[in-house]
Amino acid sequence: MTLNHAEAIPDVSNETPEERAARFEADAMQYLDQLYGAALRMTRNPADAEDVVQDTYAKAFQSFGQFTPGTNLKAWLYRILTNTYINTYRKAQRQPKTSGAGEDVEDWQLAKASQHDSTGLRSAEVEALESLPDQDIVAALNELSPDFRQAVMLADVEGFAYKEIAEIMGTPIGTVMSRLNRGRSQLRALLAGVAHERGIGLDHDSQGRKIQTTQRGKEEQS
Amino acid sequence: MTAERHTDAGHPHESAEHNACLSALSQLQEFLHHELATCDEDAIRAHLAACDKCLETFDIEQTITMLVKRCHPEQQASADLRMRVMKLSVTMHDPQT
Repeated sequence: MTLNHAEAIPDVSNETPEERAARFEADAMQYLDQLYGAALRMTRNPADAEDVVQDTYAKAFQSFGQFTPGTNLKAWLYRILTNTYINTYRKAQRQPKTSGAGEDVEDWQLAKASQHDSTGLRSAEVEALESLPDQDIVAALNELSPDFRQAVMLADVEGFAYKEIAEIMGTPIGTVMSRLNRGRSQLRALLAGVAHERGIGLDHDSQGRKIQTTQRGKEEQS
Repeated sequence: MTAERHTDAGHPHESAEHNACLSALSQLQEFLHHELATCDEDAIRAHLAACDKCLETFDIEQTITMLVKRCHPEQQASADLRMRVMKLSVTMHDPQT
């Protein structure tokens, strides 16, 4: 057994196929429920989610010899899941429409715009948001462009660190931060629009613009 | 950069406050997701203690994180899927390779 200073990392150089299979079962199976949950959120139907998970585990097992023991197995599995989903399903699916809110805005402009407006209605926003039904929140998330949505889901639902999200999405950390900032900014704008449509007392969106009710998630810039 | 929401752009005190808010807001997501070093977190907490408007913004964003989590409860893989996945490491490993 080769030991490092933190934990025992198995020496797999002389591993038999049976030992590798046993190690895979011992180490990778514990993430099955979480991977299924993530797949379900991507595919939005259980049958496809099961197929994606099964494909993921098949690929993971095939390339398990290339996984360095002691490194982040969970992120490694999520990366395979993400790529499996994109290659098999996302290309075939109709892309969800992207919201115009905040999409082409620079990060410094986002920071600036989210600063204080003077309408005095912002204290109502927390209550308005909390009273939204789950389906409205899910619908708003589904309107985000896929990369923004995935960044938000990995950060907020799965609880991955930025570094792990970068590994899973195959991008630099700066791109993760940008996608997360834009995704969350769009999400907030969409939710403000929905709350307004439901008559939950918001006249202005997060950027101080008067909200016009057209279709869900769309705002007119005044 | 014009300070369009501040009436006295030339006033040094308000300009400093303006910058402190911008600085805190530009790190909002990192703060929420515990990506900041302790000293940077402390600096933001100090600002939030002094700025009601930023505190409100952070509360709103924290609420959105809570909502996103709330509507995605943990799922369980079916027993059937579990069995199929368990079988992979049995059927796929080939003693010849």
